[in-house]
Amino acid sequence: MVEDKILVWKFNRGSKDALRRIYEKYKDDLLGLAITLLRDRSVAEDIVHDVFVSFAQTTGTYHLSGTLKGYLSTCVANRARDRNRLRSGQDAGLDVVEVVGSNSDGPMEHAIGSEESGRLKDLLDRLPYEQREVIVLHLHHGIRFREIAGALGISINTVQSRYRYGLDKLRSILNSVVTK
Amino acid sequence: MRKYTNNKFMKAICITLMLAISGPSAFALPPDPDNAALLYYQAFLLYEQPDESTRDLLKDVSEGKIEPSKKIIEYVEGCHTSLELAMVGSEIPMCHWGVRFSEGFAANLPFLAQARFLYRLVVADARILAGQGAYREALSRCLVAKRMGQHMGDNVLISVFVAISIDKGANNCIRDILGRMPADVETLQWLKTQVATVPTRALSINHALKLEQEVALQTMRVENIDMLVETLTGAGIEVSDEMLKAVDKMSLEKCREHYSNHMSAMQNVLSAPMTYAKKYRELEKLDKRAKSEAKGNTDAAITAFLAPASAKAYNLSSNAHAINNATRTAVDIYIIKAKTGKLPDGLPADSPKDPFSGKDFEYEVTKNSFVLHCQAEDLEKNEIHQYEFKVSK
Amino acid sequence: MRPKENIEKFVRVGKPRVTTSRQMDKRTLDDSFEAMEQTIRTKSADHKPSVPRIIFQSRMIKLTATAAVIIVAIGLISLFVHQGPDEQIGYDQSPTKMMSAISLTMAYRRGGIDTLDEQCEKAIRMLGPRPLHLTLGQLLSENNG
Repeated sequence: MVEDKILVWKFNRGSKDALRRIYEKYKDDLLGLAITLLRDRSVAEDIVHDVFVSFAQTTGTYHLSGTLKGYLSTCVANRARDRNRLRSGQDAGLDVVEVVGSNSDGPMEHAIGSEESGRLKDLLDRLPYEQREVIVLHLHHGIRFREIAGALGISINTVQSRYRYGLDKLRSILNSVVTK
Repeated sequence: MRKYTNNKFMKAICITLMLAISGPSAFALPPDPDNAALLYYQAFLLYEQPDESTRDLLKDVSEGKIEPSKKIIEYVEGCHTSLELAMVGSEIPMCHWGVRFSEGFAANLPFLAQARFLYRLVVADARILAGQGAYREALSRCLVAKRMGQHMGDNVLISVFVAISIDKGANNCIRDILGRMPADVETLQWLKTQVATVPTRALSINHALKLEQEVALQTMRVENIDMLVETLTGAGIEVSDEMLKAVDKMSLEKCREHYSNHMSAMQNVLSAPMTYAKKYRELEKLDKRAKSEAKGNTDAAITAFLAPASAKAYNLSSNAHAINNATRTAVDIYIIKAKTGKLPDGLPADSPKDPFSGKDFEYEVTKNSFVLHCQAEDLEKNEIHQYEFKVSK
Repeated sequence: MRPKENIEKFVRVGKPRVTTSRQMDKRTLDDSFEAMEQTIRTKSADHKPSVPRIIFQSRMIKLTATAAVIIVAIGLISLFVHQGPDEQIGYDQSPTKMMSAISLTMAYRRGGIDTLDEQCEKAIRMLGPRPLHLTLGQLLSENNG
């Protein structure tokens, strides 16, 4: 948090190094978010690219309210949603997603992690876009409901409902898988 | 017949009055602002932007260095709307400038820049009016400037310094006007009453130190590290990565504690019943201690940077009070002169004191003037101040 | 049936780990830097440079250096002072910054009320002249295109 504040402060004074460090810090997370939302790596890369180019244009005027990670994540989510609307109805071709694994370290955990990641991806794909968006932003990226609501321009109640319904749906899908 | 007519006439008047009273009340005008700053801000917007030479001339005229030229008189006349707004604003007790102190020391105080110019405009107008023989009007402009100064200074320390400078300029202008004004007991009595009503709170540094302390303590928090960085860079310091490593919650907490203790000690000295000399020396000790501690104690580093040079600030404030008290004493002397035709042999009873010594000013009559001497030394400048007031024949 | 917490944990643990490619990094950073430079250029063009401003800026640099030297002498803050060789700070003392409490205070510390006045006047000048005779008609015509 302290580091982000200073990075933003330097960025506002035209420091390219600060912009580079912000990019290095969040690029993987943001790409992961875009891929989870859109299931298309090349489109996801374009979105992260566009978010950073737009962010770079705010130098000198960018005001950090909330967290930098939250801001960038919701920028990615907003662009992903726009892109999703554009191609709604079409089934995007899935590129190979470089799923490296979960946050676990050991080989066993890695294997389990990869397996969980793969399963999760399949499950999330079966959720409506809006529910997937809220769940991923909150659980993968730690963005608070209030911040999500502000960024998406919807009420906090709507965010919470989407989250709840999304989790319920995931649970019921998982239960049905277990029962089978 | 006549009675009937009168009754009818009265009835018509009553109906008209009732309509007049009931009608407009539904459309009552909103009241004028009760916040002087709103009027000053309008004044800042409505004066004609001067070119560089006009600006310089205006400064010299307001300081009494040159007589107002035709160009300056015309320029000041063209700014009458701003002058009127300043006059009305100065009469309003409350003045909130809307400073965003949540921004810490990076908060903008643009009114200080604008107010310095408006003050010059007001004082230049005073000197123009005095030149035209309209002394009471001229003195009333000086009072406007003094009240404006009070409005400026109800803030952080830098605004107090601006207030002190404005008050000093207004007092100098009063002194020059009194020196050339023919004897006029009524105007002098009026001036005496008016000067007494102008508060002097903004000439003291105590309130500003409290506010600065709050702002600084807020700035020295991890969550406000960007504000601290902004403050440091505002002073021309570039922030390095090493700072990130050096600063954490614990280290900032220690800095906060050190700063807080230092500022409290400063305020204790200022509010203690001590002489000027004792206070000055105590504050000087505190200032020196803060600097020397910063060399070996990391907790004291930010204190040395953010805490003001209190002895210097206190000295400035004492100077402002001295000039102010000398002016008030001089008005009393001018009143006696206007009433009796000659200067008194001694100071009037209950004259305001010289803040450096805590005693009466020393009074000396010279050929064409009288002089009020302080009775103790200004410890920063190592000199004894004296204020000369010319006397017109 | 899994409780809510378990589902949340399941989703959290399953967060995919993705890494960007070198090509993407290069493209994004190059374009971002260019966008940043363009923004800075546009802003600088808005601030018309003037001779007094240049003089003032060079004076500011000297004063900044002086302030930095003073601060170096007082302990921890020396850690704060750093001019990285590879770090180009495009910091330009803007008129609004010049009117911040700290900037005005530093001006006063440097040279009293005269220096403060000088800084205030420079800031106002840099902000540029206001329209003196803007009529309602002009405003309306602007509004109506």
